[in-house]
Amino acid sequence: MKFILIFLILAFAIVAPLIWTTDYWHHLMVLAAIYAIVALGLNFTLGLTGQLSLAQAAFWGIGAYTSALLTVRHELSFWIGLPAAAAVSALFGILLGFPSFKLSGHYLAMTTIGFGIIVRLVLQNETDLTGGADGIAGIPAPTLLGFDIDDNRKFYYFALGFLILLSIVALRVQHSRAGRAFQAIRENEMAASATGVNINRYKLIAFMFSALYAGIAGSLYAHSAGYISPDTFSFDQSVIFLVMLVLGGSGSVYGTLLGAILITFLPEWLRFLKSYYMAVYGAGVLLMMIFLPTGMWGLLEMIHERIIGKPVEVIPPLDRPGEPRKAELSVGAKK
Amino acid sequence: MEILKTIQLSKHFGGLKAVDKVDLSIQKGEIRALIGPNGSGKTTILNILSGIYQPTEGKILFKGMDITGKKPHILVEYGMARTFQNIRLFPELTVLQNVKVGQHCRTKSDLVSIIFGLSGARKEERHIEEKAMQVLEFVGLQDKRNRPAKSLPYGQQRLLELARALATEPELLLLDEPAAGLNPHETEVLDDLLIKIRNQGITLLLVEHDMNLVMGISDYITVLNFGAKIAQGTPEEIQNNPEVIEAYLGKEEVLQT
Repeated sequence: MKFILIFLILAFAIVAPLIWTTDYWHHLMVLAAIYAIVALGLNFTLGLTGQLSLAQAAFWGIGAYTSALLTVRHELSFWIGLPAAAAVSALFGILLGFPSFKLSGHYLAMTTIGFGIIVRLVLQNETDLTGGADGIAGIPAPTLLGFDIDDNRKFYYFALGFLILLSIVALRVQHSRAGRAFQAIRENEMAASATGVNINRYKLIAFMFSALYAGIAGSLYAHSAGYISPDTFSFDQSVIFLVMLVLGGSGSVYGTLLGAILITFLPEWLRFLKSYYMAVYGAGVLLMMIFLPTGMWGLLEMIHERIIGKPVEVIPPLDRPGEPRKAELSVGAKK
Repeated sequence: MEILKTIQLSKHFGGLKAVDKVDLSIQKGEIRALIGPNGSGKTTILNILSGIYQPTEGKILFKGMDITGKKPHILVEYGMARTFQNIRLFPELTVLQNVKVGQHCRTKSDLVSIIFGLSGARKEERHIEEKAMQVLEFVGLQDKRNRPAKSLPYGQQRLLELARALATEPELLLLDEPAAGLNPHETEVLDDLLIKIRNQGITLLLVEHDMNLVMGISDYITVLNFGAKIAQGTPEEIQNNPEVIEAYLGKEEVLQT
């Protein structure tokens, strides 16, 4: 059942550019794939570990600029720019992880917002290094095995490949001892620590993953757009990534992908509303947060449970001394 | 053999001496209860022992090692696990996942082998699953394994917390009021479980208010009052100790005047 569903989604992702054939839609598909990678990164910090980070656009920018500078100024290959972007961004991610040892909730969020603003100011004002407000133009298209990935349709498949690989990595990590350590920290830090989880270490790992994903996505963005400027990597964009994650289903890889796709295409679907568009968009997000706190993915899971039916389990009544509950609580090790 | 020893252990919160120069010595395999009126420093001692608080003064030796000031996760690795007075589960995770977290410190797959799905990591994951299921069967929660922890009734949440602590494969288990909020039947089940745990060679140190449970299962009892140790002995000795009776009930003269 699950495999059929995944196969269908993959098949759809592959034929989508043949259904919507304009270059503009291909451009949106590239963006959706890139945003999905960034949001998957945010899922490590916020979704799994419960650390509210609002610097995701900054990591995305660090990745984009690292890759762009290496390929434009130093004329290195995209295949050096991409891992360098991932590494530099991940390094900053680890650095931003340190405040999370002492801070949580909105205090941590404020630190990450501060970091995001600093990054953007550096991109804007360190003109010698980053090109300042003019940005960097002429970023070359990547080549793969001799093929130039030079239009949006090709780039979509290229980015989709990365998205699939990174989704698999995210799923594997989530269902491993590391993923459980992340979630234990989210659920109860003191209990996680008293159960043997090194909470500081795993917070740093979560921040590292989050920035690593954003860095890869940043490199992809730079080489697909060909031009980057500081405005793209603003705080607003971090909030959009946050909305993608929360709306789709924080903590779930599938939910995150769903959220990223939805938020990328929603403006297109709402375009007929003209100037009311932002109001409807905002109200829609608000209503979903009120009525679907577990996101779109939570809703789908609920519908799935309704159809398939939950395994029925009898919950024994608590505190009814007259009733025998020996069977229910029977102590194991009888075998 | 002595598994845990504290030397002049003290914890001050400002001017309050929550724990005042307490010497404890616990033998391997014993069930030790820590009792005392409210505010006598029992939970504070457990929090110091498990690394959540740093002691103001004094030393803690675990299996002969000085563990003073070590972080909680390190102590779990050394073989000391605990439960909390106000249950602290991972509420959104399933019962099975809760217990699996306990195996964290006993496993070592790194991120590279996890990401590439290497056979070592897969094998270890299967081992974690088996181990977690064993522990769940031991406390009798195996049928609830796929339910979110928060959906369990209160008594079973206590058992789950115990299971999670057992999954860390401890040698010393610190239990903070394990019977609090349990009905008489559930307390009986807990009683059986604690004896079984001890019979596996695990040493138990429990803080408890349920005197039937304490007197029934403890080998030795340590009594605290205002942060200081006032008595220690077998359950019979403690029941007849005038100082203990005074701490709990007050002085006779005071009552008469």
